[in-house]
Amino acid sequence: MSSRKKALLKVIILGDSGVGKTSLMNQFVNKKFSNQYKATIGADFLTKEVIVDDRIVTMQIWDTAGQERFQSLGVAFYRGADCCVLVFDVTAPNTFKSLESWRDEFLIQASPRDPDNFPFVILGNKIDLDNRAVSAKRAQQWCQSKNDIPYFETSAKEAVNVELAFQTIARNALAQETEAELYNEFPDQIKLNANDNGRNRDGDNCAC
Amino acid sequence: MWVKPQEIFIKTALWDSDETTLYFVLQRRKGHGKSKGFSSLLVGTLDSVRDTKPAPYRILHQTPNSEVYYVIATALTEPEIRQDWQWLFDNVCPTLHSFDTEEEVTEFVCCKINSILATEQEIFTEDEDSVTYKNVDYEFHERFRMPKDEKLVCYYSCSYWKGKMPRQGWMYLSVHYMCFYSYIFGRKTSIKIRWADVTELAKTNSLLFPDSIKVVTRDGEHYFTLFLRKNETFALMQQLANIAMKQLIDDKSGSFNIDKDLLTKLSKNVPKKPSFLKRDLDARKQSNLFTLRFRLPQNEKLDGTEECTLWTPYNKRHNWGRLYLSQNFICFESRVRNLVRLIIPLRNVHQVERADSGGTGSSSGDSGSILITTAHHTSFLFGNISDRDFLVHKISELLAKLPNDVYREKATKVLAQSDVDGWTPQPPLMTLFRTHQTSPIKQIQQKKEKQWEDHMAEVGRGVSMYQTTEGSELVVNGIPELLRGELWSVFSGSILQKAQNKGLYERLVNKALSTKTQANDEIERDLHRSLPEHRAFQNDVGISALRRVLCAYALKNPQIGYCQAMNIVASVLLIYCPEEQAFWLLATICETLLPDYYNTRVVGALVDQGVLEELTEVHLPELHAKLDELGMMKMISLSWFLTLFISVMPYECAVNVMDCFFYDGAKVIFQVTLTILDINREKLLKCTEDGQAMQVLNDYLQGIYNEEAMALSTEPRTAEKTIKIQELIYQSYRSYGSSVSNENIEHLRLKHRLRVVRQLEDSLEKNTLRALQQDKLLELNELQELLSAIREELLWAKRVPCERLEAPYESYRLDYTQFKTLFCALSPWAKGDFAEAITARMFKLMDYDDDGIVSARGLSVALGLSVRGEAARRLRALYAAHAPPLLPRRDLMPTHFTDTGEELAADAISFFDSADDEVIPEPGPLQRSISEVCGDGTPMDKSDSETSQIGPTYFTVESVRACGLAGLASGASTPGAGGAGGAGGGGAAPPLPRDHFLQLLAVLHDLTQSRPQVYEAVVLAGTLLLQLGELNHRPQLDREISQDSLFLAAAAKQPEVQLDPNGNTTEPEPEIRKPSPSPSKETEPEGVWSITLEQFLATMLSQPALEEFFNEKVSILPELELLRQRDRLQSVS
Ligand SMILES: Nc1nc2c(ncn2[C@@H]2O[C@H](COP(=O)(O)OP(=O)(O)O)[C@@H](O)[C@H]2O)c(=O)[nH]1
Ligand SMILES: [Mg+2]
Repeated sequence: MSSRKKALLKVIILGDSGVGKTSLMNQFVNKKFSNQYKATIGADFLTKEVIVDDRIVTMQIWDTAGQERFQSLGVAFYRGADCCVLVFDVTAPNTFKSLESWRDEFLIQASPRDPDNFPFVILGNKIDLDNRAVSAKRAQQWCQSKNDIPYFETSAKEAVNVELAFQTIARNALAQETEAELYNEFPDQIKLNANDNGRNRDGDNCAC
Repeated sequence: MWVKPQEIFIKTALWDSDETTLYFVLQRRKGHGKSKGFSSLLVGTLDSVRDTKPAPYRILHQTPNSEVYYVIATALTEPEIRQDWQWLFDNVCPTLHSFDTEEEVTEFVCCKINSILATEQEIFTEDEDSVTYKNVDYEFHERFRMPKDEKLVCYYSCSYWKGKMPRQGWMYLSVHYMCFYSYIFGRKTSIKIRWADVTELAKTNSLLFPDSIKVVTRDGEHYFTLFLRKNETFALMQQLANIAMKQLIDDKSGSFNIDKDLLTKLSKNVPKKPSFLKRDLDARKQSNLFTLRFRLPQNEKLDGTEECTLWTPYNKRHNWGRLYLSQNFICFESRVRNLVRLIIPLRNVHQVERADSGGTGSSSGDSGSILITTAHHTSFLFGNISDRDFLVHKISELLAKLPNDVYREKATKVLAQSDVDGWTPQPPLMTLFRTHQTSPIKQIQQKKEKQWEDHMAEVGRGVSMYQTTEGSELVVNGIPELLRGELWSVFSGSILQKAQNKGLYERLVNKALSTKTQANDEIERDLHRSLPEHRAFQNDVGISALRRVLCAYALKNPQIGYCQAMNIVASVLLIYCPEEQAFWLLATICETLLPDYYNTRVVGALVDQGVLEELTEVHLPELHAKLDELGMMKMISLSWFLTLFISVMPYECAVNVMDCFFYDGAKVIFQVTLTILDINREKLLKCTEDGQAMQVLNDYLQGIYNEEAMALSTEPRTAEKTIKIQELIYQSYRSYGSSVSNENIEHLRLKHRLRVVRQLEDSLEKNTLRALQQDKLLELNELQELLSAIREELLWAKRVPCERLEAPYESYRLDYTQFKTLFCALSPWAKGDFAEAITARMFKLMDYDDDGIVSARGLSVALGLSVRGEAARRLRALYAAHAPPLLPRRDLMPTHFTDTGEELAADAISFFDSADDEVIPEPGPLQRSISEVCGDGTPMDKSDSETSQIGPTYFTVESVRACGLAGLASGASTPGAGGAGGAGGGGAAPPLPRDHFLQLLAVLHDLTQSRPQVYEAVVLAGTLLLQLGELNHRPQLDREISQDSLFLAAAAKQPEVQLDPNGNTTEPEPEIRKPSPSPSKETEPEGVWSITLEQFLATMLSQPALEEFFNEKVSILPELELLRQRDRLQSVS
């Protein structure tokens, strides 16, 4: 039972200010791109239900402020994250260079059990723009060097790859989640998860 | 009155005991007070005969097993002696059982009384800095080895708990330190704590440490008790600690200046205090409270206050209250809270006259009134002023001191308008981009406008309107849109700032728009993400105005620059206020209402998080525990506070909160927050994780509505309605209006600031340590100690604010003097005659951008290389530090071991002459940075790189540095950036000319002189290298020299060393000691005398003794320990 309840995935989106974190999140959750967002201050979040391998899971996506002075402040909710999405803007090389420090900072603050295998996903956003400055190859290379982090090229504006990316995020987070349970509690109940009758119960639990 | 403890032997003769405790007796002289009879009569007579008249009351100290009594206090009246007795009882008695022996008790008591006496004498001296004070000051500096410029503020007698034993002594409070010194029972206790290291100050009372002041640092807790005036002492400690914190937050206030102005204040209101500085600090505190109360500019200094009445025409009453006088303002606040408040800027004062109440002829002196008329023909009548003449005199004095520019206002105004550089300040954007209003809402707004017009007809308009209870009720209802701009500016006090800084906004804008800064880039990115739902910001008019306001402010206040959330706040201000007024409102928010909120570390917001947490704990304990468990406390306050709720509530509701915020200050945000939490208490208590709690609060906030104003967004509201904003605000005033006050918040801020700043410093330190460890030179514990030594050193320095830090260690900026102090104390390289020269050269090597400042990493690397680097790296660094562009010609000093100095000099000159000939023009600054060289993409200042040309290649300083520091991990590692750090020698160093080489050789001699074997090896290698250089210089001598060339010998012995290949071998000449083969003048130089890095390294490393020597790993912990002892002496027994 209790492993069923954990069909809630906590996903953190990090990256420099202006790379499109909020837009990506809204494209994924609300299926629209709009110019009507305020800059994110502090932390914000949206939830969405997705189906992964026939399971319904609730994704809780946390969006953060990107300005440097806020970097160390949003850390309270890093803990317990199931996946961390790092976003950069393919037209701004500096935002690509910051990835490393975002990743480091996340690992330090969230202190996941197994930092080497914690699921990250990298998104190179704004590929709809012409003035691209970070090549796919370069980004790909870096991701490979970091324990093969999955890399997606997205456009929040034109909804390119957003769905796919978040599906992967959910899947990887779920894998992590299952593993965590494996470590944690009721190891024999994992088998139950494979059964299909869990779906209804997930639905029930969402009333909370 | 305490007296110097005097031994006496009889206690009863002639005295009656009124009170007795284990250690103290209170006595009354017979013949005084109650007792009558023969013996008292006699005593009376005796006294008059002797004419000594001892005081009739006294307190004795005794211990049960001792025959000796000490008189410790005497008094003429009973209340007086009772007061002392009570003090003993409350303060000293609880402490005494901690002593093991009676002797200790007695020694302690006597010592205590003596010190109280010393303090008291002090307090009654009238001089500015009295003789005693000067003595103490001297003692303070001696005992704690304080630098001369450290200022002692005050000192107090108190006891320090060392273990279970209180030690009687003195507490010294100075600008940067609190110290304690005691010498009692033959033991010395001495403590020195930096204010900047204090994490907590508290008044505590526990069984173990009764009624004490607790001082917590990260090294531990200290307890001090037995203060004569504990509250005064504590307040001062708190103030000093906060000044230290402020300095850490805000680098510009790096040095503390005595405020001379404060001396000229109304002397009758200033209590006499021992130190000049203490007086200054007291005044500062008063002024802070004063500016807070009336929302005046922060630098305003209170001059004095006076009880009197203010006549309020709207209700025809005299209201008792207090008049406050400062350099630029006359203010009044009624005794009854919120009844009436008034601010009159002196610059508006037209006339001050003595008014005689009711016009009944003769002045009735003591209840004198004055009438103040402003330029706008409004009059204000103050009555019942006890010393009217003095006040009138004082006001005229202040008026005379007003800066002249006040009267030039009109002239500049005209000028300002004609001189606009391609932009016009916008009127309130609301007037350009009207939102459609439905007629019911239009009616409500018009009704409100009417109410305000009526109100202002009574209380006046503008800065000097009477702020009354009725007014505050109108504010709470929500200010009508049309009047917001005007009233916000008046209530917040920003209108005063604007008036005092005529023309500044325009100048700032012109300058800000023409410069390119990082802040401007960040602003640009956020312009469209401020208030996009308002039409004004879907248009260039609004966007440009917002850009101007934000860029101008970033320029005005570099401590803040631009912080996200300011864009959101500023855009709202622009809707209601004319552009310049919006700018000043923003400034007031950033500097006065929400101090330090938006600075580079968002310190203020963090402080208020702590304040909110504490308030929640007090008012909603259950909820506090829950939110704490969920980790929520830290999440909500940031967005709520930084954006004044604008980003979390519907816009038309958030502006109502702003109405109250400008009227009543920061307390409003707290009370509204508490109310929201309280209302949602049940739901929140049920939450099991942070997301859920966020959702509860988000839903609630989004559902707040306002029926009296139009919503901005035209989209239908999806959120379920929760509460009317007016209702929420009312409720917040009802529940928390009186328990949460601005003074209270200011007080809590003081407390939490200590903790927050400490935490920030700690995390900065942690990050720095992490970064420094990547260099893999010094050990972690060495780095820790080193960093604390650096901090200590930096304490005395003014720190320069930096725009953006590339890495954490950049916050620790050492200039040469500071670098030298530490390097010389710690590095084995800086021990001999060349200590200074080596230090200077290492500094230059590390100062990658030639700005005379080296970061903590620079020092750590320089030190680390000298004790941990492999031989080759150490030698490389030394070589590079002596290579030409880094060590320019002019910096060469004569080497002391050449006896042919002049020849060398001549040689050097001829070399450089010829070099100059070859170089066609002076090579311009090369566009190559160390980062490129190191493979680390960060661009750096590359303005005046010196370049050197030897042979066909140019060598930049950067390249030489990179070469000298090869093998070091580059700065912040960046994904995908070219090479993997500077490894593999991204740079190259030029060959050393002869005199540079001689310098290097001299240094090597210096480093090794205490180790004969190594010294020999240096000499040997040196000789070889000199000959090698000679060979490069005059190849035609090749054959002659090679006959007896030493390096060939060396090469033959060490075949694995790759020297320039040369077949011949000869015997070394051991008698060569002075490595100065004088060049023969008759031969024209054909090549250039030089030694290459490769030659240098190979030759040096071919000597096993040298290789071993330069591979030795030395710990610098002992040196660090010595340094620490020099700086901090803690609890020596
Ligand atoms: N062309 C383009 N613009 C985008 C894209 N994603 C975001 N933006 C724009 O980039 C700016 C910053 O986006 P935002 O989501 O607020 O960035 P955040 O600070 O990372 O949350 C906004 O002006 C967006 O409209 C994208 O995929 N393509
Ligand atoms: Mg965002």
